[in-house]
Parts: sequence; structure tokens; C-alpha cells
Amino acid sequence: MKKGLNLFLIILLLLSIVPLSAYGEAVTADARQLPRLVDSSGLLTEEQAEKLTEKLDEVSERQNLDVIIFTVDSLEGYTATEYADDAFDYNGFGMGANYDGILLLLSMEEREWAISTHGYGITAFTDAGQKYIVDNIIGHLSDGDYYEGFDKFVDLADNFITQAKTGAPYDTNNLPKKPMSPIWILISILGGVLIGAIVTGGMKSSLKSVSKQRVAGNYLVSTVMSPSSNKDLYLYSVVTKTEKPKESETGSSTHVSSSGRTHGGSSGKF
Amino acid sequence: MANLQEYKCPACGGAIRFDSSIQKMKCPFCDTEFEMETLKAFDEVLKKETPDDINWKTSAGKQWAEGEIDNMTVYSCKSCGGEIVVDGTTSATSCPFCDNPVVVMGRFSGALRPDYIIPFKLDKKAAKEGLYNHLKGKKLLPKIFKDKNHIDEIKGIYVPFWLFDAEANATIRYKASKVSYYSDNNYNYTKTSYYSVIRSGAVKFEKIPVDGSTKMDDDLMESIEPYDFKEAVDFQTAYLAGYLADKYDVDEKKCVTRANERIKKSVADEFRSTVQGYSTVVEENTSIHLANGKAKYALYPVWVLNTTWNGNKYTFAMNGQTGKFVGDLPVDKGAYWKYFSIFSVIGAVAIFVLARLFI
Repeated sequence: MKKGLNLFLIILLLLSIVPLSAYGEAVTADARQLPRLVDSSGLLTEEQAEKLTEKLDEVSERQNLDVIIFTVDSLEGYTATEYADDAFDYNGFGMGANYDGILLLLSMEEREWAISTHGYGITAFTDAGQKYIVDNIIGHLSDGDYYEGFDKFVDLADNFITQAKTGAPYDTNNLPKKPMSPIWILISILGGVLIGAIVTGGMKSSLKSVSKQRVAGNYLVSTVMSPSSNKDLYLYSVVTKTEKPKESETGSSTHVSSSGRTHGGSSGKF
Repeated sequence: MANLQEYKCPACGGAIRFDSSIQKMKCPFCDTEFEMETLKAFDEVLKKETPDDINWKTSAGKQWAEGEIDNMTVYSCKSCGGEIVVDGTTSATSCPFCDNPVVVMGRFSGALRPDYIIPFKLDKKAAKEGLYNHLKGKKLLPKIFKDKNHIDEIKGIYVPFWLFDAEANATIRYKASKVSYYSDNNYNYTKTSYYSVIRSGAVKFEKIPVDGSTKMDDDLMESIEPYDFKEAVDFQTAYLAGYLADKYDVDEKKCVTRANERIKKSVADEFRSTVQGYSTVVEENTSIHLANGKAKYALYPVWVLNTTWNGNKYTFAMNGQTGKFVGDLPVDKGAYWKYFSIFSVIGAVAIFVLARLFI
């Protein structure tokens, strides 16, 4: 097993040296040619890589959607999105007839990341959803905690696919709950004290029954308004205008990769 | 130029000019534009406004008839200086105001004869029941306070009140605004239109009572209001039998200020309720004229209990006609903090759980 993995790594290393263009024009492969974790930059220890590959395989097979992590030393002149799309298309990633999958690419030289989605992956990972995932792992990636970042990526991807299968993928107005900020503990305490004060204030006020009368309404015999001198006189108007809020976008934006396939995705620096 | 007329801007109060370019009146200070007709009408309203004027014609109380007060005795308290009047058959053993047993008898003299009296309708038993109900169900009331009350000491007192009749003629000017919203493709618009609203009319009041005794707390006496004057009868000394009576020591001229305060607020409330359909209404000017201000002197029935607890004096009063029972009660600090902590914790947990579910 270990031996096999070493062999893989060597192949991967070789592959990463070969410029992408070398197989750029080749027909996209039908069967997966690489493992779901391709760590060409060697960011993970052997043990971590093994664990992560196992996890990727488990999630991918359970969900019938390839979840792939791909690290390279350099983008070799391509944009991160192009590189990620090609890495997906030319290595036979994607499951089922529509090549369902999501690929996270990290390039160390440019310190850029890209996500490429395909097939059902485009549906399950909306633009807002991808941003949410990246927001959650970017800190780990920037700090060099690659394993933690990748591990979280797989968990989130798993969660997102499950959600998408319910018919309502995570999107702009439907994102998973963020972890609660500790400020809520303080807000809860203050709110609790306020509630306590209001309730006991009510009990306290039931002990007080002496107060001045404000008006003499009890002794009012008649009110006669004189309609002739009652007036509602228009004076002037003031108009203020505020810009309408723009509708926030939902769904996934797509583009066509060099192989002619349609991908969803996003990219950025880490 | 013979008819030079200066107008004030209804928006900011500055002097306003005619702007020939827009053929309208325009305020040089706040740039608000007005139609000439609007300003004329507004100016007429301003001219009619006069300052408040409240005068009372009082003819309260009568002189005592010959022999009428022969049977009446005055007890004065050596401790607080309070004086109470009883008829010959009743005796006072302790001062109803401060609970001090040192009372001295004297001959009744001076003071006016009341015009009216509302006789006691509720007896001592009802008063005791009133106190019992008053203390019931109060979670923060110290338990020991309930037990320590010498409920038998509750006393029926006729309290002197000045009764004021009045007809108020008033004009009130409000500045009101209406807000409307509309929008086009890019913007939401908020249009606020300002109006000057004028209301005038007459409001009649009858028999507004004001406590005429310094020994009885004014707020306490107002708290047991209202009294139904329909059940009042012409004063006869016979009604005093078995009860204590206080005599006025604040004259009607001093008490009328208090009645005026309440009349003014009542008139303002009445008029305000006729200004409808606006989103904001601010009172800008009031002028209230009181006509036929008449005052009468009357005795109203009150059950009173004074008690001292932890060095503080607590007074309870019950309306002897309607049974309305009032009196501030002490707070049990321990119980207060106990409930405060319980509800604070429940509240904090509830907020945290809700926040977890919805945020």
C-alpha cells in the first residue's frame, strides 16, 4: 500500500513537471486517471495524504460526485480557473454521465486557489456557496494549515451536496449557519438581565398604587368643537429619495473551458 | 407699498419674501416655498391666538348657623399638629394621621361650613376586606408586613375637598405631517407634507375635587378618585356621627392651580383626539380661557390606615364611596433579587437558544 502510494507520488511529480499544454488538446478521458488527492506541491505528510484520500473517496462514492483536491507548484501561465478546469477535464474526473464533480486547486507560486465545478457540481455549489466554503477554509490555507483547510473543505462539500439533493442548494439567501460569535453570550446575558429587570419591575410596580391624576376626564361633562374654526391647513412638502437596494444574485455562473465543457467555479488568492 | 405685509415662515419662523422668479412666497432661510393663500390663512390663525387666561369666581362654603357647631369637638395631635373634628358622641383615641395616641380636646371654631357631603357608603368591614385584597397576591411584599398590620386601627375620615366647575374655551394649533411613499425604477421617495391644524371648542367640567387638607397626602387623595358627585347631599352635622372629620387648611385659591393643571391636560387630550389621519402631531400653541369658574366646599369619605414598618410610614386609603383601595407597599429585597436572578437566567438562556436557532 505504502509502496503504491510512493509510486503514485512519483508519477504525480512527473506529471506536474509536464506542462498542461502537453495533453491540452487531448480528448478528455472517460475514466478517472488520478487519485482524488493530487498533492504535487507536497503540502501534506504521507499520513495526512492517506487519510485525506480515504475521506475524499468515501464522500465521493457515497455522494456520487467527485470531490478532488489538486495542488501544484505553478500555474505555468494559465489562469487559476483555466488550470483547474483543465485539471478536471483531462484527468477523467467527474462521476456519472454528466461528470459530476468539484475540484479545489491550490497553486503555491502564485498563492492562488480556484474551484472548478462540473455537472451536478455546478448545481450543488453556487457562487455564494463557493464563497461561503472558501471563507471557511481560507484562513487555514493562508496560515499553512493545509490539512485542516482541506479536511474542512471535504466536510463542507459533503454537507453542500447533501443539501443540494434536498432540492434547495445552499445559496445567497440560504447559507448554512455560521458558527455563533461569542458576542452572543454577552448579548444573551444583557438581554436576560433586561428581562429580569422588566419582570421584577412589573412585580415592583404592583406594590405602587399612589400616583397623581393626570387629567380631569372623570369630571368632563361635555365637549363641543366649533367646526367653523377647525382647519387643516396645508403648508408645504419635503421629498427625500433613497436609492433602491439591488437584488442580490443567486445561482451559479458558468464558463466554457478549453475542452469545450461548461464549468462553474471561482478563484482567488490565499 | 401701502399694504406692506410681513409673513413668518411656518417651517422655521424666519421672515418670508415673494420670489418673483417662481411667483411664490419663498423663505430665504430654509428655502421652503409657499402659496400666498396658505400664508394668509396661517397668518389669520396666528393673529387670533391669545394667551391663556384662567380666572375663578369662587363662592365656596357658607357660615355656620347659630348653635350648629356647639356639639362639635376638635382634637389636636401634640405630635404632628393635625386637627380633627368630631361630633359630640364620637371620641378620638389616637391621631389618624400619625397614629400618635396623644390627642387633646378643644372647642370647634372658625372654618367654613361645607356645602356638600358624600356620606360613607362602605363600612369598616368593607375597609378591612379592601386592605386584605390590597395585600393579596403581591409576590414582592415582605411576608411579615402582612402579619404585623394592626388592621383594626383603620379609621373613617371625612376629608375636605374644594370642588371646581369650569367651562374651558380653547384653541389649539398643531403642526402635523403626513408621510407618503412611492418609487420609480431607481429610487424610493418619501414625501412629508406639513399641515397647520387648528382646533377650537368648549369643554365643560363639573366638580373637579382638590384635596384641601395638608394632613392628607394630595397624591393619595387623587389616587382614590373618582367620587360620584350624584350621591352628594347638602351638608348636615348629623352625617359626622361615628366618623372623624378634617377641616380645610388650604384655601380654594391655592387649590385651583392643581385643578387648572388637570383641566389643561384634559382639554389638550380632548382636542388631540380630533386631530386624526396624520403621522406626527406636535402641539405648537394653546390658548385656554376658563369661564364661570366656580368652587364649592365638600367633605368626601375616606378610610385611612397608617402603619409604620422598618422605620418607614405607610399610608393606605380607601374611597369610602367606591371602595377603591390604594397605598404604596414596601419591597422585600431578598425576594426581589431571587426573582430577578431567576428571570435573568431564564431570559438569557431563552435568548441564546433563539439566537442559535435563527441566526
